[in-house]
Amino acid sequence: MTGQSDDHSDDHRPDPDDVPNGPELDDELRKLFADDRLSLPVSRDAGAAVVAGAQRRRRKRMALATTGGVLAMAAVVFAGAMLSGLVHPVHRVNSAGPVLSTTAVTPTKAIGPPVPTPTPATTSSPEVEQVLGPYGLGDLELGMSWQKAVASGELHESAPVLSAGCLRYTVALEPIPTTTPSIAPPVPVTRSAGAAGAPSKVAEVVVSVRDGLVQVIAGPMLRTPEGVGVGSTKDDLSEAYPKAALPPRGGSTNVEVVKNPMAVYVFDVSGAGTVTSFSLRMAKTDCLG
Amino acid sequence: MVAALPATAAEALDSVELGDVVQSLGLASEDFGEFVRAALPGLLRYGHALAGNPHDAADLVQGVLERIGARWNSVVRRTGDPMAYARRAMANAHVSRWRRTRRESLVADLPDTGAVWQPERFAAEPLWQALRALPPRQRAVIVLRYYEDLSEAEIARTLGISRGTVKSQANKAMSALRTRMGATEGRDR
Repeated sequence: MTGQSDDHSDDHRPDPDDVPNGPELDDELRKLFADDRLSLPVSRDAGAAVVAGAQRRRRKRMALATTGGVLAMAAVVFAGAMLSGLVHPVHRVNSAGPVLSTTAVTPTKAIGPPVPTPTPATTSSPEVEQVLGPYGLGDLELGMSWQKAVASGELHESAPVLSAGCLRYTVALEPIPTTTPSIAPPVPVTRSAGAAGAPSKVAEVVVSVRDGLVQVIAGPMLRTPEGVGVGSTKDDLSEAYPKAALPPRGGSTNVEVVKNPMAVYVFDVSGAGTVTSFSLRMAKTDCLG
Repeated sequence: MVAALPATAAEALDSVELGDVVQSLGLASEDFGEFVRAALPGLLRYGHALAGNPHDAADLVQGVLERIGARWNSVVRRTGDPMAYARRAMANAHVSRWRRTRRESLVADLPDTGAVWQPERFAAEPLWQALRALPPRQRAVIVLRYYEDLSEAEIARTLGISRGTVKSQANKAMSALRTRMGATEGRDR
């Protein structure tokens, strides 16, 4: 494995073979982008405005990290437990064993129809800094063994067991700028509990003891490489994935992952036509989270 | 490739007491203020190329800088190069079209007040108009390639997409541009 194994024949810039470019358009583009008129005058208060905005975001993040985050985590964990059928109506909870003991959720709201998914409000964090790519999230790759995933140090707060041999974890990668936008109402969805500087939650993963990492459930700040994420519309979805079958009245849809035949994206679409959650998943797995 | 600092910008920023504000944030002291001062002109220009109009450019820059400022220490520590990071973040933010509502522009001094900048003439460039009509991702690929001068692999890494996608997006973009340019040239050149 040397030299040639790097299958990328890199860095001949304007690929001569790929476009019927003609050199003129290349040149025109470069000329246009070098044009002085592209520059914009910087306003007088620009610096102060930016700094003040940063301050606002920072405060909001701290507030979320210390208060809302706790509740959000509990809600997510609890919803996950509901889904997997581990939680039963109130009177059973106390005897349900250690599963919920760390979350201290009062399950009064748990009776009634099952909670659909840990659905973050669609307005939350529509910003993107992290891509949930075809193979996984950063170093966390689909198919990696449970041991390796745990050893990565990126998994936190093991949540209840989903089914035999399947574990669910929070991933805290500390992606950079992932504050909630100042215009949006504070939605306590993405932060894990903790003091300032604690890593922020960006996703959850499901790890099978047998098959390794089988699913990455994206938090609101993640997007697919094609730019779809929580808050995207049906139109965004079909623009990015023309082949996606869109459930007319909401539901979930699987989309093949172009670069990784082992995996699929699963998008949950609300009745209103908005993506409420999505994940990257092994096409075949016994663990479904 | 960062454009030289226009004199106007430098002068404008001199009057802002960034240091004080930043200090009170508990951010990495004056560093962030310095960074903003130095980065704004280049980022606005780059944002203009990405977003296709001054308002969205200002929005893009402001949003990204604010987020960086809110995590300044971590950005510096992790990336070592906040400028490069800011540019990547802008490309991604542009592609993701996160901006659903346009905020009042606080960053750029836009045409209604500024006499320096001449929007009309520039906006009338056929190529500029053709670029504006591209979908965000295609446009980002073109800007990264011809403005930032990145290789295909670098573009792929920046946007978190495959090289194949970069290539196909570039192809689509170029042929769309060519078509539009052909159409306008017939008429008004």
